[in-house]
Amino acid sequence: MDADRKTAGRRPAALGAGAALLALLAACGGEDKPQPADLQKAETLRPADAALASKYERSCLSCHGMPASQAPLTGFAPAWEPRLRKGMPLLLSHVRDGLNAMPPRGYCNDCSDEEFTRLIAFMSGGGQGGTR
Amino acid sequence: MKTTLDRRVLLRLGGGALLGAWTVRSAGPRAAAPAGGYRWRNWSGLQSCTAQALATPGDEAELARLLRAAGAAGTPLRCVGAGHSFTPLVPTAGKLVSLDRMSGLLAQDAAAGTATLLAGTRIAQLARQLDQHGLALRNQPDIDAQSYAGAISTATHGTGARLQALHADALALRLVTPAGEIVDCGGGRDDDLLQAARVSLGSLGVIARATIAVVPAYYLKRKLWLMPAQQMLDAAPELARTHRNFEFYYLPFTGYAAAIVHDLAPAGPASRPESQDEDMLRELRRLRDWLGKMPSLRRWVAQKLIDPGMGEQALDKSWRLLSTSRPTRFNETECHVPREAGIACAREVIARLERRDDVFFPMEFRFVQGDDAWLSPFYRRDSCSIAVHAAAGEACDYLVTDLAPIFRKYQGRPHWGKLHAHRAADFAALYPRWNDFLKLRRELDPRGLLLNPHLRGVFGVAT
Repeated sequence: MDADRKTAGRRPAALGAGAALLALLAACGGEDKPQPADLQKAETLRPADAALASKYERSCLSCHGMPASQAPLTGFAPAWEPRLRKGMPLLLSHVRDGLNAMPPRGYCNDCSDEEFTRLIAFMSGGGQGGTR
Repeated sequence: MKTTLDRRVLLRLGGGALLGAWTVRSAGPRAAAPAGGYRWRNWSGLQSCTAQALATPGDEAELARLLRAAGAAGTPLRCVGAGHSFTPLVPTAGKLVSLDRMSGLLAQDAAAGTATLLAGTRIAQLARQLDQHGLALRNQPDIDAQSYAGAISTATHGTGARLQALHADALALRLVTPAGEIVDCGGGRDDDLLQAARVSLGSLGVIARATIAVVPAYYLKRKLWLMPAQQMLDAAPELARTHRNFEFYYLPFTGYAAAIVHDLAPAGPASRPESQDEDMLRELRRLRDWLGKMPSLRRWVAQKLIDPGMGEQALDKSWRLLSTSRPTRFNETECHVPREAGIACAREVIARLERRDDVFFPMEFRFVQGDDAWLSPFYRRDSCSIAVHAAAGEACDYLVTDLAPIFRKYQGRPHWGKLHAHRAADFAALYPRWNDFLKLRRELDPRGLLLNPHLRGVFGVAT
């Protein structure tokens, strides 16, 4: 072996939300994979409140509207149910502190805790709040 | 900025993709910020600070008041966008400013091919809003979470031999200076200031709005395929010449590289295969973890497992194909070298990387056309961009220590937002308009209100 060769460390590295989501999907047997209708819904759903919709569009949609991001898909209940079971306070802390690929405050520097809570409720609640 | 291979490359280990028992941990600091402070960290978790506060002005007047107040108090101020820079451009003991409330498309003129937007608009949001008007950006970076101001301020770019970086399409900018004055440049007004401000690291003022060149919305067809790495290095210049967007990824310790091309196509039903990026990255990582200490065996196994005939095709609107999501966090270095030196430099980078067992992230190779912004790494130089990544949480110092000598040898200009060790003297030798920029910066911000320790090192400004 090259004397200058550096050997990999073996400590566990932080993985993105994808690993957790893939593991979750595998555990569920794959039947909860978003279908084209789910993807279309995630693309079109918006909070009914215009101010909240504006923040959602600029901060949340690009990840939560796209399965490739491996963030829980807006309006797709199977992705949200296990998270909701952990309770809103924990979900709120994840948004505030950042989790995996989501940075602290989830790209919304002007969102209040109350708005974060409403955004989580919108995304996890089947998109209630209405389509445009 | 790309990291993982953008398209499907599956290494079938053990007969299929394995889902290991990964440890997932939160990326963010959990400790509460000190009273009155605001705790910030960048996307990768490498950079952080506790600022006095985070301000989110809602309009230019409020932004101007904020700057005047900071100046009166002698409080340093730095802007923060999406936090996707790996260099410490943001950390400050003063105040942070986010333009999140100053976002959105203000106007568009399809006939003139222009659009005006607030500078806090994120690229993804801008692309969607332009699309609603039948318009699009000429090109897009790999990641579209960045604010427009942050993206151009660090010379964010996509790929394409005849496509310039994002900032080259900024036709006019409105700056709020450290003195709190609102200044317009471009469009025949102070074009020197425009060329300086296009890529200015948030050091000349806060960019509040921009008028940009846009194009009619367009569809792209994507094709991905694998090639032996040496063949890819040989073929890259011709592939860049014959395709609108071309890039390749070298897959470490496999002997293979993946080519990705995008070309204009007639509109049609969208066809986008499900992204396998994360699967691919996981498999490359697993190969590293299992066989890292035996690189020859690692390479042999990879070559047995990879299907060289695999490929992918897709069709969709430009903004849906050019930018992607990156669930796995990383740290990154990237350098832009003269186009004619790109392949030679890449060969050396690959050889150096493969002296380390711990490397597994694909190396990305892109093409960018030159432009005239004073601090553009592509200033009057068609370039090749070579980007190397390390998983967040793993060692990343080698991205600079091991690779900087190679990049220096080829007159590389580092990406402003990606890890590098260049300082003012280095930049003075690399940028013909360096001193002009420094002079302008001193005139606009004589007290260094918009500087932080990193920028003082970059510009050679004493503390």
